[in-house]
Amino acid sequence: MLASGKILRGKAFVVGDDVNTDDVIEAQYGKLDFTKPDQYTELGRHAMERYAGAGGARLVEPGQDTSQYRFVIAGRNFGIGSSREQAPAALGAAGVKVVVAGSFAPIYFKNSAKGGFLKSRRCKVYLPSEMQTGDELELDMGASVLITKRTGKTYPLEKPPKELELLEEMGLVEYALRNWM
Amino acid sequence: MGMTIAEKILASHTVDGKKEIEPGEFLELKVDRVMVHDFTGPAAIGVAEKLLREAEKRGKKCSISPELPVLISDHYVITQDGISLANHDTLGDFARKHGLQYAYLAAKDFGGDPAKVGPSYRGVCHAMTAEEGLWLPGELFVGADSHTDTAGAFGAYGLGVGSTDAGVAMVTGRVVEVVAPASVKIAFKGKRPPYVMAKDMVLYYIRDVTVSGGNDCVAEFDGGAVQSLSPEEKMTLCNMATEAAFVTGIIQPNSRILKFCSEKGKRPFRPVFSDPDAKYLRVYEHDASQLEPAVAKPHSPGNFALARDMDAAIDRAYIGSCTGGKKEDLLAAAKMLYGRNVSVETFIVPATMAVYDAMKTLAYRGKTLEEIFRESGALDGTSGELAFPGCQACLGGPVDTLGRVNHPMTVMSTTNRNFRGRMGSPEARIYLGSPLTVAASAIAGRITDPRAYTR
Repeated sequence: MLASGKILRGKAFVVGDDVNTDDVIEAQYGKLDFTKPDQYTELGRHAMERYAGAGGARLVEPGQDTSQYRFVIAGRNFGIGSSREQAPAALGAAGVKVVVAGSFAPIYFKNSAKGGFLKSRRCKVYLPSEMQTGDELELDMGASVLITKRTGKTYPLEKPPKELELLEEMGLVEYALRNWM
Repeated sequence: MGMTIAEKILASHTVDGKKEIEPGEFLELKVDRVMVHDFTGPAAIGVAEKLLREAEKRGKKCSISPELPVLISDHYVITQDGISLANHDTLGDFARKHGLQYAYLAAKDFGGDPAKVGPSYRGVCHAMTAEEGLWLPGELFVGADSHTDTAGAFGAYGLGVGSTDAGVAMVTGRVVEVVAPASVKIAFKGKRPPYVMAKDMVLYYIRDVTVSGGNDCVAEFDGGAVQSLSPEEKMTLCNMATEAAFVTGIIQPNSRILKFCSEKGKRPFRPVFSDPDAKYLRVYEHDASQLEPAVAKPHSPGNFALARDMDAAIDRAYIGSCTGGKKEDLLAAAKMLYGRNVSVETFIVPATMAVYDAMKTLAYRGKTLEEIFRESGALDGTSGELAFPGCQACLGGPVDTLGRVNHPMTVMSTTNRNFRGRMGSPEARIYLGSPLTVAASAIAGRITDPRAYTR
């Protein structure tokens, strides 16, 4: 998991509005249990399998286990639909570190943090019209600022509540062990 | 200050005993039940077992309360897919190991054979949970399924979560709500015409709110046309709150719901109600008498159209799922199909074993539902038999799933999602509508307003 204060660099995979959890991981892979290492890896191979980005780009190339993209950049309502935690798990398994979106569907948003798979950050600027798939990005987690190297533009991200950051860092299992047991 | 029913349930379940809920605040909540099924359960069990192991390592004693988890087989049941079948055994082994009281599962090693599924199997979680009296007013019911909001029909707070939340909740009895939701009121006033069903009301409110507009909010449904709905129709109304990104949907329990829960409930309960001065972030209002049969066009439940404006030809009709396979859903379809023939392949898929059994006894004009469907050419589309209850093709499933849309086609369906690829093929076009609208469309072979077939 990426610690706060660090700089994350990587390429962007840009998608649009209302990307649902069926888009992120098809229902047929819902049978895979992300708590089992081999099935977790398998989920990564199928992350956004049928979702072609701009120019037909794929998050994970066929035959690959992981993605060349560390950022998914989305519009409104990312993760709408099923409660399947296989969705953030698949993105995490594929090597995606952060999804930046205008908004997130409630269950996806909580799942991504509590499972400790990857981070979700909101941005008030509509980023899909600012960025292209393949753009090199830099994210300063401490300052919550995203930079596009191609244009030099910077975008402030909403600072998440501190409790959410805590959950992202330790995951809900560790949170429960420390606070509830 | 006045509180909504949702705020009262949340406040009464806070670990630190809050008297009020401030929208946006971080909550730790005590839960009354935790439901998982064969799709989300194995990972939840993996999380629960990890938590138990870690706790033991750190010298902390803990065990699972036998009455807390509810384990259900329903998603991928009748299939030869090995991993899917093994998932039922994972749930069964966990239930036996921890002596769990509520396990509604396919029998061990049943091998995907409906004849060997065993007596514990019930069918679709959101329908069987109601039949078993596990949803009670004032309770906090956590389920590893987004349509857990269906519990709101009974005045319970149904919180859809992922597998990590569910696994932790099964062990600790607790869940974190990162952002306490505000409430939005969605009122349907006046009298609903007989050709308008809860599914139509759903499509109207998703159109109003949009598929992203409910974020960080609870939908409270209200008004005469809501309270006059049967419990099953209220379930359909609440079920799809998640499609508008609501955290959940809820209805204040009326006397019929309270009576139902008193008779069926597994334990005593304390209903709560919204105060007259409760605060709502927004209010949406409809005059129910003006509603018309509606459909959702591909590929979003928010892609609203009136059935009467549609003329698309369909290849298949699918009547099933938690929003279309309950007793009253199938009765509505049977009334439409009585004495008429379908002109496209039509799948009638009961949600639960109880619905399956009722189709052999429940009658309309002297014929059982099974007879009506058989004579109309409906039933399971191909074999002419009564389909086995479960989620089946609602969410695609393994390729051998009954009714799965395995090639590009146009389907008119009573299910709750029409995302691209939801029922199988990403090239398929899925339209959503009420059981009445889908049955009328099955007769016509095109999307049809049920008023086209009046008696």
